[in-house]
Amino acid sequence: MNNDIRKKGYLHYRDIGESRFPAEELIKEKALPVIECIERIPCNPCETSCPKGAIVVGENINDLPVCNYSLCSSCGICITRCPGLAIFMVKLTEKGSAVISIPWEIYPLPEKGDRFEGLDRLGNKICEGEITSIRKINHKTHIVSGEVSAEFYKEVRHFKIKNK
Amino acid sequence: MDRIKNHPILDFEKNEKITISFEGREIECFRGETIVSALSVAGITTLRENVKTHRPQGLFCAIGKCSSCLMEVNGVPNVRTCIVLVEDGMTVRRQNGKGVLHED
Amino acid sequence: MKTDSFDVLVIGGGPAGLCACAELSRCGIKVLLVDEGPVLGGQLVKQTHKFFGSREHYAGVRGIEIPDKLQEEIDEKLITVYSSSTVVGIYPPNNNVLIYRDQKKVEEHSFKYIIIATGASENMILFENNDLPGIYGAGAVQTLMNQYGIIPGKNMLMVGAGNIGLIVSYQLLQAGCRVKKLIEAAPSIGGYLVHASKIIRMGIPVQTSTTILKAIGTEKVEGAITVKLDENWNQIEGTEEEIEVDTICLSVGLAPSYKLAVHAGCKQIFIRELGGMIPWRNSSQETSVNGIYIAGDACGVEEASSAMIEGRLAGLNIAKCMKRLSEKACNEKIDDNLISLDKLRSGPFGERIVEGIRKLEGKSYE
Repeated sequence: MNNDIRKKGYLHYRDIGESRFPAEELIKEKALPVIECIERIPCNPCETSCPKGAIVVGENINDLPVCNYSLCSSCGICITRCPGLAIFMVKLTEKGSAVISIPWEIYPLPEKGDRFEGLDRLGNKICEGEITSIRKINHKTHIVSGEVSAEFYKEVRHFKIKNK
Repeated sequence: MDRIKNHPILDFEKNEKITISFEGREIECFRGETIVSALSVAGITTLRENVKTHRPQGLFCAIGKCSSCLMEVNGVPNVRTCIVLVEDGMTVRRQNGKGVLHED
Repeated sequence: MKTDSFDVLVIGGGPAGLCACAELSRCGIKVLLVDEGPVLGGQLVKQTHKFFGSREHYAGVRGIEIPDKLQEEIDEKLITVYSSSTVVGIYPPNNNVLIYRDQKKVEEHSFKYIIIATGASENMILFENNDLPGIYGAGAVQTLMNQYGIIPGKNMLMVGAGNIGLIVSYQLLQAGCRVKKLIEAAPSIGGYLVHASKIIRMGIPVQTSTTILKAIGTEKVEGAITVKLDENWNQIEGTEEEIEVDTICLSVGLAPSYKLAVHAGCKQIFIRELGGMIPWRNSSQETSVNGIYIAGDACGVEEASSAMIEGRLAGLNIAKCMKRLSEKACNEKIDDNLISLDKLRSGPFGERIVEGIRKLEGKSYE
């Protein structure tokens, strides 16, 4: 682990590494998870919750998860089960936008159509967008999806909802 | 301090409303909460005075380990108000120094 | 003296104590569980986040849901619970125990076996006015907001970027508080990156190599002054910064609570990696005093997941001594738990603990 990352305490997408992002051709086809888990910690609910067996951590639960995108059914369960809230899902649309799905545990839950400021991993506003769907989950880590311009799909990781 | 109205994960059930008295002032609170939580909501943050320096002391650990919240409750000194629950009609006072044990 | 019908006393009903009770009651052993709090669960009752680990460690389950799951494992007929009660002394050689029951009357009992699972208490750091009302330990902030539903303050300064500081900052956001800044004296964050990432992307500024110099206020906190530190941890003049906050939350580490073990005459040992002075114990969780076991943060500050396993180990080892389960069955279960503990400690965050345990094993008081 790069010491500079621990110093700043957050990840830039370069820290995550291109190899941890699904290829653009794939996310034009279907929504796929970006697993932003680059530090060895003892944890494997992403693996045990995946109904398709697409995510593998392996025998040593400190190992980093790897996703086999061809098995992924885009169900989003991993987003809600990751205790670190470190899994996001991205999909590129035909009209040049990206739909980003993030775990949501803050009151209030947004509503479809809400406008938001797209915040990057440092909490800076980098674009604007609109909430496209909300999936309420029983165990209260919900999935909120928002649409932004495609160029920001690697950067936007929180939606700051604008006052209506 | 205010009570949380909406929380994304937790639901706070409100029990029966009861009243305790702090230094003669009536304070409304809920059965099931600690003396300190009732006092906090009522805006009382100074729970005692340091025995040596006489500086104000407030809550610190909230689990009965640090002695920062010792008060006189129903005439008994040195009660850890962070782990003792409120009871209807309870009288709570800031104690004097190390506290005085009243004889029955 | 009360003639006792209990086989074992468990002191503390947190993750370690409840797991010890689960294993003991599974072996048909009668337990008296004494806990100071009004409800069982220890610090689990305010952990709204989901736990790490794997399934056997309740990974993906919120801490607040774990006490119920553990209590389901315990046979109610075999356990007596004294809540809001305090064990005030353990007197060898017969392990006579004084219990301040319901904080009202003293009872005396004696036990052949005792498990101390008393957890840890919050550390304090030195700075001017550090005794002002409005300066809380991170655990106290969690108790107020997550257990009793009270907003602990409007504007917060969080001190300490270990896992607790990071997690409590996130929980403060969930409760509707504003965390103005999180400072950490070390040059880098101490907790998991995933915990740091989730608060930073929501806009909480994290400043490393920064400490608190002073709390401002006379009756309660009205602000704080922070200062930057150089690579030798010396304050850098001219970097003082005033910040307006009504609450300062300290998350600067925990120290094992083991006074009862000292009272009982258990030998202590200094192991920095496990939180400083701790009672010595062997791999069965037994202290230097025959029949007295210790588990969880009381014998080394770690995660709740490992406290649970240590509690199970203490319970199983007592069951083995009492011959309530065949030696083979006991050993199998003990091995499973040891493997599970190794799994948790095998990553980089476990290295410190593993080193501490190695030092512990290098010493014997048996």
